[in-house]
Amino acid sequence: MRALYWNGVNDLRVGTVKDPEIVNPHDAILRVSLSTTCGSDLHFIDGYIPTMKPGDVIGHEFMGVIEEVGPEVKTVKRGDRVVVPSFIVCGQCWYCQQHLYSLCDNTHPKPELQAPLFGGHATAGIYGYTHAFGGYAGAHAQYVRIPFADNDCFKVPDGVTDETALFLSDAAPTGYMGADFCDIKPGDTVAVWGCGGVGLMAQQSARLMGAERVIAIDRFPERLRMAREHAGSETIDYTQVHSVLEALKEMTGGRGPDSCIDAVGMEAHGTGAQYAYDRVKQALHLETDRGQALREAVMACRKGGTLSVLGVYGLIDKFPMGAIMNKGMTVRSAQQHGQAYMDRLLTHAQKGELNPAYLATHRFSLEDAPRGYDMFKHKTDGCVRAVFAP
Amino acid sequence: MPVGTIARQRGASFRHSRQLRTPQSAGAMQAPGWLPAALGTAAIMAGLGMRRKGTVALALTAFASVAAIGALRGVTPDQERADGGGASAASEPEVERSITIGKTADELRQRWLDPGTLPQIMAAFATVQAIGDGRTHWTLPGPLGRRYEWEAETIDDRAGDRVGWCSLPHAIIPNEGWIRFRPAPADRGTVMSLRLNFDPPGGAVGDAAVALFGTTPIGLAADWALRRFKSLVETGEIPTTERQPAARADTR
Repeated sequence: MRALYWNGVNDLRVGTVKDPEIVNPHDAILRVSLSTTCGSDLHFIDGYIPTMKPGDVIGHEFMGVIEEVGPEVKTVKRGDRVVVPSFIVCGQCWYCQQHLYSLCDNTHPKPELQAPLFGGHATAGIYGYTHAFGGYAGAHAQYVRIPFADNDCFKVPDGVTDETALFLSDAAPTGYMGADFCDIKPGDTVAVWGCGGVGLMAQQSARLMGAERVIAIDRFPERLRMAREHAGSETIDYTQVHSVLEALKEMTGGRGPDSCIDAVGMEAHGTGAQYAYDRVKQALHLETDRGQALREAVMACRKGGTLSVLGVYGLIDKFPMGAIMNKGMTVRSAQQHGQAYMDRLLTHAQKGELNPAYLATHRFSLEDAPRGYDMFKHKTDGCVRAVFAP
Repeated sequence: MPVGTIARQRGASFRHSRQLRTPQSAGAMQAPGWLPAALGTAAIMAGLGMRRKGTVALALTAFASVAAIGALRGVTPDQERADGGGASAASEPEVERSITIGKTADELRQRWLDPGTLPQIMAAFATVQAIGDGRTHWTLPGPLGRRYEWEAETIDDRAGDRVGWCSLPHAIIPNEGWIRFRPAPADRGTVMSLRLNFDPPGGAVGDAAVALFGTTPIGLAADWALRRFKSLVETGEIPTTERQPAARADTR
């Protein structure tokens, strides 16, 4: 089959690889209909996070049609049109029973590569996202193997298009979870740093959960426009204001947002001395992350408010723990527990309350995927997400 | 061997057991490929042993093969002197690791003793066959087309709530171990502990192996086996990237 693979830092290629096969009894093989880029892919494409091997098939946000199922697959069958969350989960372990799916104990084949970073603990495995996260082949390909298909494949109802279902794989459940973390009450203002796919989904989700106001922070005019038009957000272009903190404080009557969602992560851009400091340290590999958005979110949040971290981080320094402690804040974070939210998300999509298809600003054949990633990385031509059809 | 004899027969070595020095740092754990390196070490040690002793049977469980180097590295000459130079006690490292599994102790014991289980848990680096009478036959591929084979004996010690095993006599690296079950809090299932205990050979063979490969974390080998067992009993399968697509020869 044809597949997009990582050949080295900033070197993506399309080539012919063997087809996936049923290996374990709960596996299924999915014929991929659509897959999409994710900002977190840029972390290993750019070489900021290790444990990629040349030849790894990448991609973790996708949907398609079931082609074949293993002997122990009960509910999913050939021909089903399904969306698959990025994290592979067993559905049996204690974490799965608590609906903390991305913490599943039983789907990481190489925990020794990850556990040392996390105090001896390992997450669930992900498709196409470094060997530290399991080393599974990814979904920018014609076919992909889905372990534990009964837990991880969700049938897409009629009336929900492929393009909408695609983003229920990762961007939508991540954003939805981020809003869920905020425990939104009537009258709440939610501020969201980042207007990429996850940030826009978090904004829409906060609205669906009853936020009175949503304020979006970014610097790209077309993304800020999407935030206004699709999520009903007020927007701050951080390059156009003296201080995001002051702007947020004024907009909230001096209180600060009730909840702050970081949908940016380790490659945050910013302005001023703090940003310059982070760029230098990151370039020297003294810290892996540029953390301006996260620090700003902590400082902006009202007393007793919630910080919801969706951005992906490695190591960060100058983290304002004192502000979190003294302001009595709640910090919530996770990789997406998509399986916990999928039924709700599909219902929202079916009712037209959540329509993430507008994120698909640019569409490519799989053969053109390297160009798609390049446009996505550089945000060329207002690219929010590049979508690939094998 | 009758049930319940493991503690008596091997009691001396357990009694001498000390807190394991686990010098392995997180840095060592981050090195990918530690398992193959450890296995290569075991194979070379076995090769040296065979040259020295001819076709002496190599009694070496897979655990031992992974852990032997960690065992060797865990003992310094000073410590050996402090212990009176008695090789058996001084060079006897142990490690114990635990995992919580959402099943009852009976289910875990039954699954561990199932002849199909060890072959699945060890499939990545050794071929294990049940050969009756509670014995298992192990085959480890070595360098230059060599194969190393040995036998180990399983002891189901119901009175002590353990399942143990030990290498058969004349082992180059005598070793033993056990698993033990205790209830976990509330609805968490059972805590299963795995203890490994080694009598490394020391001397020229061990020094050569250490010089070649350095330290290998023994605790990681235990963690690795426990995780694979947990996945097998909780889900019926072990997570794997075998036989998957990738644009390279070894696609795992």
